[in-house]
Amino acid sequence: MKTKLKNPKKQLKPTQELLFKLLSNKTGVRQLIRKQKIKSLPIADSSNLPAVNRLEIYAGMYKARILDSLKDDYPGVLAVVGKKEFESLVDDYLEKYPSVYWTLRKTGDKFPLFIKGSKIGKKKPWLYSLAEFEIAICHAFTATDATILSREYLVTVKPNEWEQLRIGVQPSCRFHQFMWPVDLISEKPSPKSVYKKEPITILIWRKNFRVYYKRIPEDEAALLMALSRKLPFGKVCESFMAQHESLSENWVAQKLGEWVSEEMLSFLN
Amino acid sequence: MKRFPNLGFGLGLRSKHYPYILKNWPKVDWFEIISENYMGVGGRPRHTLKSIREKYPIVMHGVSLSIGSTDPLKKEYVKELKYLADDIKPAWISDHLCWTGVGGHNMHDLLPMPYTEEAVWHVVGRIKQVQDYLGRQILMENVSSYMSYTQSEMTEWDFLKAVAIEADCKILLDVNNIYVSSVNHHFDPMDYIQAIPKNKVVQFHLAGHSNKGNYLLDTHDHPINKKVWGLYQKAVNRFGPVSTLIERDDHIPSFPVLLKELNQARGLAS
Repeated sequence: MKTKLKNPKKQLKPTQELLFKLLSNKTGVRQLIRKQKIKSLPIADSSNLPAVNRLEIYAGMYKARILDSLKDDYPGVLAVVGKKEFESLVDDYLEKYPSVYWTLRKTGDKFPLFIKGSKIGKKKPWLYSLAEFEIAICHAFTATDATILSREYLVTVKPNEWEQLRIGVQPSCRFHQFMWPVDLISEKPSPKSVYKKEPITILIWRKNFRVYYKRIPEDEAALLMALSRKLPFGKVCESFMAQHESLSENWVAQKLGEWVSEEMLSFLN
Repeated sequence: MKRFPNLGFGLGLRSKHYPYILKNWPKVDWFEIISENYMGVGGRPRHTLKSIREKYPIVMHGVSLSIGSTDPLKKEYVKELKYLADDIKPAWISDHLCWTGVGGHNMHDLLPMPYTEEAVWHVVGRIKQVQDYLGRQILMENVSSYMSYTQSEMTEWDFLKAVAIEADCKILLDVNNIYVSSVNHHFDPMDYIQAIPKNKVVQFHLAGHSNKGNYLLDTHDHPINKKVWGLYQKAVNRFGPVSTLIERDDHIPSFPVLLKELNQARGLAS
């Protein structure tokens, strides 16, 4: 094949678009063929396996693959709604949010938002929070690495260097605000449980390849937020203390020490 | 050093085997990673990969390049791929001769191409772009398939051959995929093996599949089928010593069990 065709048939794009429609159709390949009155398929038939069946193999794998991935990401949601309802939720989710990512890791990112607007999400408003919590755990597990700020390094910092020191929050460490006690819900998710609304802030982070979480008070979240702006430490303290007059510099130093031990902070200089 | 040396006999690196490998440093010639599992992530996977890379050659094998899609190439994806390659310095990089989505969507599956001249030139242009960006030749793998297109103008092997020659890329020949497709599309797998140019094949894949009654499904969840072993023997006879890798993605047995299977490949090839 040494020469390019001058006028090759432009079939590739429409063929791929048609196949995507057929394979991702929520109600199945056959239903779409019937509904859209598609007379001929671009897929070859054979005596033992007609074209439609061949397409259904791919359609089935598309759904199965994403379903498996979401089951891994949202074990609590799965436990609450049950296998059948979960599959139906994923079907609806895929129809509304077909995957646009090259990695399955992100395919379920909009699932919490989808749950929020779903029938079961309205019936169990805490389910949305649980889903948000579960995906946050997943993100912490795979978040990129950073140079962790160590106690050994901090003791070498001279007093006059602290003001310009840049301390950040390592990528896996994020705090999240929830309207429901998701840390308790996730311990034993059950469809029968009744939960009380309780606004909480949870810090999630990875240390030694394991993901941890804990509730934190508002002032700690505010300090972490200030640190995440990647400003020189002097500026961080200045703006934080101006808004939290009741807290002392010792309190900031104590928190910093705790977070360094927990490997939550990164070194930016 | 040769650009594409014969690495010997390797296994697909799977997280289940991390502890075994890190404890025993088993006698495997090399490992192949699924590129996407390590792209844009940190934590245990990346850390473990770096440790393993210090002791073994690594090959990067992708599933999301979507070289055959009519969507524009995903720049962010290729950038991440290069970033990983610069970091771990793989012996080579491969992906599949297929498309995985269109219209900005991803099916997360390896969908076959229609074997047309239009598709050849479409894929060739994109492989060249990727190779230019990565600064190296890549390998394209034949996928197993359950459908073929009415518009196809050539056989799958002629398509693969044309793409490899025109794009100046290499081939990762998946022997199990040839077998699976030969059953699903009723062709002689030896026609495939005989048609592929010897100088293009850099790597073999071996894996297990499932028999679904009226078709075979490439599930990577079984030991390698006897007929696939037979075809591998014939492939070795034709292409000579080629880096060989066993893939297992589901029902993954213990590492020593896979090592036994790998030694079977070693025995057949010697």
